[in-house]
Amino acid sequence: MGMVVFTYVAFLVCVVGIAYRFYRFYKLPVNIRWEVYPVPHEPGEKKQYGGSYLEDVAWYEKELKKDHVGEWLEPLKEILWLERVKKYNRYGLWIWSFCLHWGLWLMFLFVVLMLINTKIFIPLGLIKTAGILGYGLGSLGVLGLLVKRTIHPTLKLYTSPIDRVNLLLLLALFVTGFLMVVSDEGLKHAFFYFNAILSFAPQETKVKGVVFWHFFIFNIFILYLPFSKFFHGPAKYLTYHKILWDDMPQSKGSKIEKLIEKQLGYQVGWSGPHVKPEKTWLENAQN
Amino acid sequence: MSLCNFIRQELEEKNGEDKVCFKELSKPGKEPLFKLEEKEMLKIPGIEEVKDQTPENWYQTYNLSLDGYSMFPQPDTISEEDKVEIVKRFLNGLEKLLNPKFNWTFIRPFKLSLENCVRCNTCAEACHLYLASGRKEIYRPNFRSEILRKIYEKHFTLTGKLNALLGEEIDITYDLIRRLFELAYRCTLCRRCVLYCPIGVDNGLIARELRKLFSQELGWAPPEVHQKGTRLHLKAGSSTGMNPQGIRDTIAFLEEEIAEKTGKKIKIPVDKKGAEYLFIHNAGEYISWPDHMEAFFLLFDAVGINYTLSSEPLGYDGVNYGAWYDDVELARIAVNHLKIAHSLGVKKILVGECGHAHKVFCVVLDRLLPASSPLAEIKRESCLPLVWEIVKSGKLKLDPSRNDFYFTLHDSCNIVRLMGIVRPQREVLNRIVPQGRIKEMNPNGVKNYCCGGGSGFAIMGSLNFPTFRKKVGIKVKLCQIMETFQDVLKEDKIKLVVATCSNCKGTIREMEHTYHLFEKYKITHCGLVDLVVNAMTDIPPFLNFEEMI
Ligand code: HEM
Ligand code: SF4
Ligand code: SF4
Repeated sequence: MGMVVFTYVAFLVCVVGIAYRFYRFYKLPVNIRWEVYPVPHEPGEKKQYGGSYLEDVAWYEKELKKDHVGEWLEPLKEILWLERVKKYNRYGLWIWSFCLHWGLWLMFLFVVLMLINTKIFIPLGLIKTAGILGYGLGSLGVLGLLVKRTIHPTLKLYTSPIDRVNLLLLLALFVTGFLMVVSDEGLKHAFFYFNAILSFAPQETKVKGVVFWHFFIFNIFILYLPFSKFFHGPAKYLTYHKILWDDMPQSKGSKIEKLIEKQLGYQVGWSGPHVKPEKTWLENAQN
Repeated sequence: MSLCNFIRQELEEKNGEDKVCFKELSKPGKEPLFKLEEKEMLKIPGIEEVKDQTPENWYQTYNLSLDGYSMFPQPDTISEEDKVEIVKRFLNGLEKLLNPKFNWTFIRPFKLSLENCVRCNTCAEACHLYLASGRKEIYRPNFRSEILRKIYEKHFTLTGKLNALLGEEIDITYDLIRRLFELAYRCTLCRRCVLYCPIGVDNGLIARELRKLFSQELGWAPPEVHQKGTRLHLKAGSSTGMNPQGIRDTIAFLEEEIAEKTGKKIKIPVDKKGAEYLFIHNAGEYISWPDHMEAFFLLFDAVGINYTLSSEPLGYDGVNYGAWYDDVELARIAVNHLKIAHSLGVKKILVGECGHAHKVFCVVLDRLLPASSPLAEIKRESCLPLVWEIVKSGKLKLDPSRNDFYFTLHDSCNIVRLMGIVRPQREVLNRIVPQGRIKEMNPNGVKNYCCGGGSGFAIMGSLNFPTFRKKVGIKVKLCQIMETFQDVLKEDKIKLVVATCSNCKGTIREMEHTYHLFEKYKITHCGLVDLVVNAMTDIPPFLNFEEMI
């Protein structure tokens, strides 16, 4: 019973936690433009060579075109293939990181399939394949990263104790998951567990052994995700779409304009000899 | 083998005893953490290394404790109490960087970059300084960020406290802070590393935030950037020190020179009310490259552009060094520029070939004032699309054979990677030089390497910082230039590195002087409009490099 309740709590904390971190970001003042090209919503060729609307004379008299599909396709290269790690990382991280991330995606797929399966039949073979591949790749990836980050002098320098704890947590997650999906008994118990969750019937599950441990760790993982380094997944949306690709000029009457107006009234507060700390940004700018 | 492959393959990271770790930055005393050894650094065939001639006593008088170099000529004789005070002020400053009101300008990207790095070190390969140094640990883009992150985490986050519990700590001492200050100026803010990061973390931004902390809270900044930079700019009207009378005299002189060179008597409009454009350029051009300014005036005259210059203080100097280190100074200069344009009643500001001025006017300024304020009504645009429009229009008779040189184009990070203006300058060049003479660098465009003069490096001349710049700062670009021209190096034809930015040109000029590029290889630099005007058939050829060197 405790396990199912724990699952609800963990899921809720994860969703609310991620939402909260996004909320906190959006509550921060809007920043000065700071884009970097290529910007993938530039239309046509421009997104390929890194051009912008500033290449045109009197750009402000034309309607700015935006390729929304481009903006959403570009990140897939990184999410699905870790392209930059593959191209530029010289520490051999790519293969392990690739395994780790695909481990995560397939694990999530496995969970979703299990959930759907409680209502609509999905062939067992498919579920099992996703599970074995996901947990297997994940375990391999984490192990690889743990070893790399222990023996390579540079990576070691850039690995803090908490990074190791995080990796060990993932290792426990993947290994218990793997042990669960390879045995039919384990999978059966997992079905009961998902049934209990979806039918809001905590009393109907009696998970034990490796299945218990797996979902226990899984819950810890999602509960911890919004408050840890694992947040880099969702954060990537903000760094790219909201900062590096945000090249929208300010327009009259826009929300941004109102924000800028408000922000210029903030007190500067810095104490350098050339700053007037008690004055506002606008007042400081005017002399 | 190509030289750029050389960068990748021959220079290996040192993983032995000499690897500097984070804790070492707190090491007491002024002894540098390591010495840059020539044999480990990027070597370029045909280029003879400069010697480091730092006087022995500087190591005691100043603080060269990071890498044996410094840009901060303040004698370092600080008492123990003051050291404690500086640590306190630094931490105050860090708190202010994280305060939404005190740092509204950049807190969003700053926090994201501080909190989301996964330490994969993919960014390292992007950095020209890291590569040129022979992959020295402290120049890695992420090294500086990681130190700031550790300080931040220790003070503000649970992760830091957990790490401390698990045995990892960083001592926040004066020595650490002094080295970190220096380290904030071992990055040219070129933001090439951003293109390599899978998460979108911005190490260039972190370096700039650090510079801000030091300037805005402690009043620490390189003198060329602050006292002799923004302060002088705001006080005298130009960071060159040129006053309004000076600019009027200079303009009169340029008119005479134009007449002498071309036989054309043109009137350069100054303080003309109601023109379409206020043309604004880096005032350093008037001093260092007057013919480049003349080229602009000749071009505008030839096609009848309705423009004016300003002789108001600040109105004739478009630089804004605040972009490199201080948001308050940045805002002051930017707003002053707009006020001048407004009082002249112009519709637009046209920015000359200066990279950081481009970015400030066209990008940064966009959110410095509300769009409805009268000052923000003044549009701001780059000169490059306009020059292309002029060349394309066919209004000028151009003879490409007048530009009988070899060419390569150096992309200014600010104009290209940070603004997306990539094509117009290439289109122009293609039209005004003979076929087959342009060789692109590898890589180029948005992936270009910084010239080594970015973010104030070009003008920072205190203590032995220039030696660092020559030994490390400019090396990757020099390597690229040599590589690009390698097939024609021996030919007795001038090879031009075309750069649309004053600081880039200054840096390439330093390469020429330091490494005798003109004498040995006939390599020199030039702006873009200079070449357009040189190709104009109704005036005599305009450029004479032998004379200019
Ligand atoms: C949006 C897509 C994501 C991208 C592009 C991405 C990218 C990366 C990269 C480049 C690394 C560093 C390389 C390495 O050390 O292996 C990394 C590490 C890591 N990622 Fe992701 N990630 C994404 C989403 C996620 C998500 C959603 C999670 C988990 C919830 C996650 C968990 C991890 C972990 C634990 C590490 C640390 C590995 C280590 O210490 O070596 N990632 N990620
Ligand atoms: S800044 Fe980006 S590329 Fe560099 S270590 Fe951090 S996550 Fe990796
Ligand atoms: S911004 Fe440029 S100089 Fe600075 S760390 Fe990144 S790549 Fe290096």
